[in-house]
Amino acid sequence: MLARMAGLTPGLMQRMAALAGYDWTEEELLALAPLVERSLALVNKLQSLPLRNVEPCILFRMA
Amino acid sequence: MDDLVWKSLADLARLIASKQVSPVEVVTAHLERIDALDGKLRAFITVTRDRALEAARAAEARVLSGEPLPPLHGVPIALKDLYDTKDVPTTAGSKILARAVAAEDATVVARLRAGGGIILGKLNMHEFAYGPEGLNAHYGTAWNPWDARSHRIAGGSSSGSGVAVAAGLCAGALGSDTGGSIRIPASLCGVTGIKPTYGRVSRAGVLPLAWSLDHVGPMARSAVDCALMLASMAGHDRKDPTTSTLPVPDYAAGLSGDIKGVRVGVLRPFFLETAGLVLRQAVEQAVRELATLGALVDEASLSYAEHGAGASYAVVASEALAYHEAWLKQRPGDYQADVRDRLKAGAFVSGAQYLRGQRARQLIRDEVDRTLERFDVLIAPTTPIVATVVGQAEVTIEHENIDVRSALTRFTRHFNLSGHPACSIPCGFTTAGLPIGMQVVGRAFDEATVLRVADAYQRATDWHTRRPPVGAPSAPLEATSAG
Repeated sequence: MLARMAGLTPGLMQRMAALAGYDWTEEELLALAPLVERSLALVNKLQSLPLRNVEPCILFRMA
Repeated sequence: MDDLVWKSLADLARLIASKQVSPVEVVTAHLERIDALDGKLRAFITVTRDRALEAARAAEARVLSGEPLPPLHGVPIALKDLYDTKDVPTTAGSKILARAVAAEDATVVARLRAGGGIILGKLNMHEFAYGPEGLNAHYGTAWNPWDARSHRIAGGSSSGSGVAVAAGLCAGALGSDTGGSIRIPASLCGVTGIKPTYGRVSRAGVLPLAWSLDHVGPMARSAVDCALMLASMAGHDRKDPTTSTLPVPDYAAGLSGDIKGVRVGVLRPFFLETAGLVLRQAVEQAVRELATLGALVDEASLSYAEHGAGASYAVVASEALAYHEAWLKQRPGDYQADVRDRLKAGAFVSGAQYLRGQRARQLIRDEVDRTLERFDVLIAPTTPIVATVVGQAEVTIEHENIDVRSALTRFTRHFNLSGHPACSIPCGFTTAGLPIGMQVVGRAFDEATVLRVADAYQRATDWHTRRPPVGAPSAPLEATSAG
């Protein structure tokens, strides 16, 4: 049984993987869970930044 | 012959041009050293011995003919195994590409050849460049030459490049840097490496990790040598539309040794303050040295530094997975475990989160730009730790327990996000003889000032001239391996 993570349930993880075309077992997802949880926590911290009027850095310094 | 492998790239070029030494002697000396040491060091995946000797003979003939010579004529260099090299396997340190052979050179490889460089072979790396430790399950993990007894990481992902340069197996090497992969091995192996500005050097023919964060750059034993390589490599390439059309300066000509009045900003919050004590002391001493040389030193800070990890992760995880999607579905078992897991984790980053990372990156870039209006360069440690033993997962920095992987990229990834040029140079050693690196960061497309500061420091110090114990006559090659 996968451990419950804040905002990312085991079922959601399986559905996200399936939507991306990956058929990973519960065991595989369990092994990934700590890495995913830690990494997404860092990404979610970005929500505290003042990004409202900031465009993504996609066209990067074309000089 | 032994002396030849320790000559600088600049000296070798000069000695060859003045007919004091033949390219054949130089290449032979390096190949013999590779034969003697690389069974242990595992810096190389492929040694192109016959081609190198053939190129050396052709270079010798050109010298004798009296024709004008290009700047790196006859100098032996090696390539991280990420760079397409005509008729030679480019494995990316992987099993999946073990037999992949490109029909033509990557742009920078072609430019280095045109500049006279002789390619000795392809260098080991963290598989698919996806790791800062330099681990490789398929070809063996490269051995940090600064510890002859214990198997320490060289840093990654350009691990073989760091080892080969440090151990005198080549005069210069190519690395690549997405989150620190030139600067981390440069720091851990006691050599010099520069991640140029994003867009300064073509990525055409270089296997990507993350397209918007990948940077191509040289590694050598001095800023002078990096300057010489960079001058041959840099410039617009129509095959890489992200490259700049800005002219490429003569970087070596600008290395005057004079940094009087150069404004140096020391990054203390987040950077110096979270490095290990010995590393902090080494960088502080280096800053005092810069002040002695006439630099104007003051405090600097980057308020968004703590968000570099999240922004970097969102972008790298998404872009790397996008590149590897087909292989990950078809051949997951052919990846080494840590790389496979990191790729899989990218499936859980949403499009909105990826864009959040790219938006945060704009803030980060703008802040570095603004800070570099007050300063000409910024100084920070390259890494908060020195080389750990292979297999060590966690490290304690003062009172903080952190995983090695996160520690290694803590100070470097910020400047991949911002795209500014950043050079790592040696600035000391621990009492155990492990190298400590310092970063010099400059304005976009101002590699010249970054290299000038690095060179001025190296003229006043000798850290970059030290030689590792592996390969020294007194150091036996047998050792215990911890992983």
